[in-house]
Amino acid sequence: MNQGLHVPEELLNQIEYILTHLAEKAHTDSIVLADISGQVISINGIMDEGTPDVVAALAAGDVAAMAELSKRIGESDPHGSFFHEGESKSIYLHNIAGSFILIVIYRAETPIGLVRLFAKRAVEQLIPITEEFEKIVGPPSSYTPDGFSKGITQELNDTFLED
Amino acid sequence: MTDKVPLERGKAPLTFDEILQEMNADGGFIRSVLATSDGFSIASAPTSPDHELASAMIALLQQVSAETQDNLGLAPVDEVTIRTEEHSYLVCRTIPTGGENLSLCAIVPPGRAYRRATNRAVRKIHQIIEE
Repeated sequence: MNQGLHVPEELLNQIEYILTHLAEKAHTDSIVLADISGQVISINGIMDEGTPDVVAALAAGDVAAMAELSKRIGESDPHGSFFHEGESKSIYLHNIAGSFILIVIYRAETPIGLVRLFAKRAVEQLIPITEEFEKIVGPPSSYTPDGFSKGITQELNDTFLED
Repeated sequence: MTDKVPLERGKAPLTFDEILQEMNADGGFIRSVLATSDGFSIASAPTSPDHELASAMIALLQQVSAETQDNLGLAPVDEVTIRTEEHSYLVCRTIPTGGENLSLCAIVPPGRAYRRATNRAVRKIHQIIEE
């Protein structure tokens, strides 16, 4: 399912195939693929309306913070991955070549290694797609539409005001 | 689910957990774990609360074997075995995959053969990963 950006159908089909394969292999609850600014590209699994946008935006913030943190400790490649282990659900985030963010949500009882093994494979398959994607929509900094920032700010406000 | 592999005719497809369970039954093993080379657990049988600790220990073993292989110029390591005073074994098979090595480890009671049962499991694990 394409949520935010306009991505050519052929590219979307490839992405959906990779995400479906990952979901089946790693027994995930849901997967969101977003661009580095937090705009949703594709979703696998079920989420409430609006949730993927908020999840992607928050993940983009996390990934940016982690990239900066990595730089500060002397890590030269900021395109890594990290986990959040929860009581019932966990999250795996992967910064793919500075273009995409892979967000994998899985039950806490699913072994981390299983998610990591197949997520890394999915990332390997998504790297060439990031190049295609950037050829079409431009480098990450150039395609964030005005409305997106306003929209996501509203979405985040709504989310936090509800809490 | 597609982390399942069709086996011989008439048998149900398997998951990683089921492969380990079947291997334990085949070889009479006490328990087994499948983990990534950096110590993340992929599956274990029977399910045990310390499977993450076991996976981390296995990663240490794999690291030592990789360093030994490098320093001594050995061929890639296929198996690391630890034998206890009671003659039981910890057997760790290395499973090379595209990106990284996995470790399949089993605790084998005294007097049991383990090579055939672990070979079968390694083949099935390969099938799931390469599917």
